[in-house]
Amino acid sequence: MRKEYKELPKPKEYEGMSQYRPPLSFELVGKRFELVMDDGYEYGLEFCSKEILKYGVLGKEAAEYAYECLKADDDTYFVNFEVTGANPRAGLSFVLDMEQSLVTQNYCTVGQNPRYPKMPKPAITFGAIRREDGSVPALRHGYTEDLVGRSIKWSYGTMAVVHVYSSERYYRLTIPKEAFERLKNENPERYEELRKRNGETLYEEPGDYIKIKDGIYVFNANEEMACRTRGQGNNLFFLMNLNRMHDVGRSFGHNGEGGPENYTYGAFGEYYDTSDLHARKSTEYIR
Amino acid sequence: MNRLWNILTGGGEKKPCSAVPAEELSEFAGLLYTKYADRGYLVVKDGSAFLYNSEEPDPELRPLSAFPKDTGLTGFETEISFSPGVILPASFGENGLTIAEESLPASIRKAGEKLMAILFTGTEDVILFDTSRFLFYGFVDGKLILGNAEV
Repeated sequence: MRKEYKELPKPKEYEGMSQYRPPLSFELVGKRFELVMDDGYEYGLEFCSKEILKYGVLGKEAAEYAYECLKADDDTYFVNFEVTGANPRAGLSFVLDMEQSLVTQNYCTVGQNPRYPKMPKPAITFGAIRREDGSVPALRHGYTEDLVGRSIKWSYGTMAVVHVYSSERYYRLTIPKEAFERLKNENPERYEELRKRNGETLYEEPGDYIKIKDGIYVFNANEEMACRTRGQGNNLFFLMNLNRMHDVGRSFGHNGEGGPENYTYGAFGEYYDTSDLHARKSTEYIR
Repeated sequence: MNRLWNILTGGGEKKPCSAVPAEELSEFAGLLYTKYADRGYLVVKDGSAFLYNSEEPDPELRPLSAFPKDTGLTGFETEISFSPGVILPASFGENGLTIAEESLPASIRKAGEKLMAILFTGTEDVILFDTSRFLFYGFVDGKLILGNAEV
C-alpha cells in the first residue's frame, strides 16, 4: 500500500525569476582586466572583493560598484551591476569570455524615452580583453542565426516561459501548454488575456542573438511591446549554455510595484515544440 | 552508468545538466568541485564527495557521513529533474527515497541550515538538496550534476 506523502513546504521566495539562481562566483576576485571596446574606449575592470568592483575608462578615476558574478561555463562569466549615479539610470552587464579573451557588454538605460519612461534601451558593444602579453584579439563575439526556428522552455522555479526564437531580430513568447491549460480554471482572466495575446495577435518583441562559442549564446530580449501596451517592460539579458541546458542572466527595468529592478537569475532549459507559433506571420511588425 | 544515473537520465536517454566546475580555491587546485552556495563547495577527492564551507572559522573538507542523520524530509514528496524533460516523482522515506517508483536506500543528513545531504547506500553517489532555492547538486556516477525540485 502506498504511504501517504505531503508536498514539500514551499521554499523562501526570491525576487522575480531568481529562485533557481546558482551560487555567485568569486573566481574573478583579485583580478584586473583591460577591456578594449569597439566604442573606441578602453576600460579597466577590477574585481576588488566578492562584492565590489572598480570600473572606468583607463587613465581616469574608476568608480566602485556592487556587482554579482555568475559562472555560465568553464572560463565564461556573467557580471552585472547597477551603474549607481548614472542619469538616465543604467545597468551594465558583461559576458567575459576568458577562453578567447573576448567581451560582450550591454549598457542598458531606462528613463530616456519621453513617452515610455519605463522603456529600457539596451546598447550592446563588443570588445576584447587585453591578454597578459599585451596583445588584443581581433576576433569578436557575433550576431548569429543559429537559434532561429528553435524554442526553449525555461524553468525559473516560480515560473516557466517558452522563448520562441522566431527570427534573427525578434522573439515570440508563450507559456508551456500545461500551464496555459491550468490557467483556465485558476485564473480565467489571465487565461483570456494570454489567449488573445497569442491568438488574435502574436506577442513578439525585438531580440538579439549573439554567439559566444559553441553551445553558448547571449539572448538579449527587450520588452518594448509590453512597454507600449502596459507602460512597463524590462530588458532581459540571458547567457545561455545549451551544452548544459542552463542559463544565467539579469532583468533590468522595473518591478511589479513600479520600483527599480536589477537582479540576476538562473533557469533550466528544455527544447520545446512551438511549430504553431513559428509558422505564424507577425501581427506586430512589417517584415 | 549506475542505477541512480540511469533513473535521473530517463534510462540514459537524456544528458543531465552538468554542474559548472568551480576554480575559486587554490587549495583545491586539480580537484573537481562545484559550488552549492556562495561560500559552500562540493568537492570530489579520491572518488568521494566532501563539503567545504569557507565561512567557517577553520574550514575543512568534511565527509558527508560526518553530518547527523535527519528525518526532516521524511514523508514529503516532490518532482525532481536533473535532465531536460525528465521530470520524476520523488518521495522521502525513513531509509531512503523513491524516485520514479524505484526505491533507493539512502541516509539523509542535515548538512546545514537549509541543506540536506542524501548519501546513497553502497555507492559514492550523493545529492545535496538546497531547501532554500530547491536546487540539487549531485555527485552521481563520478560526475557533478545539477537539478531542481518543483517549487
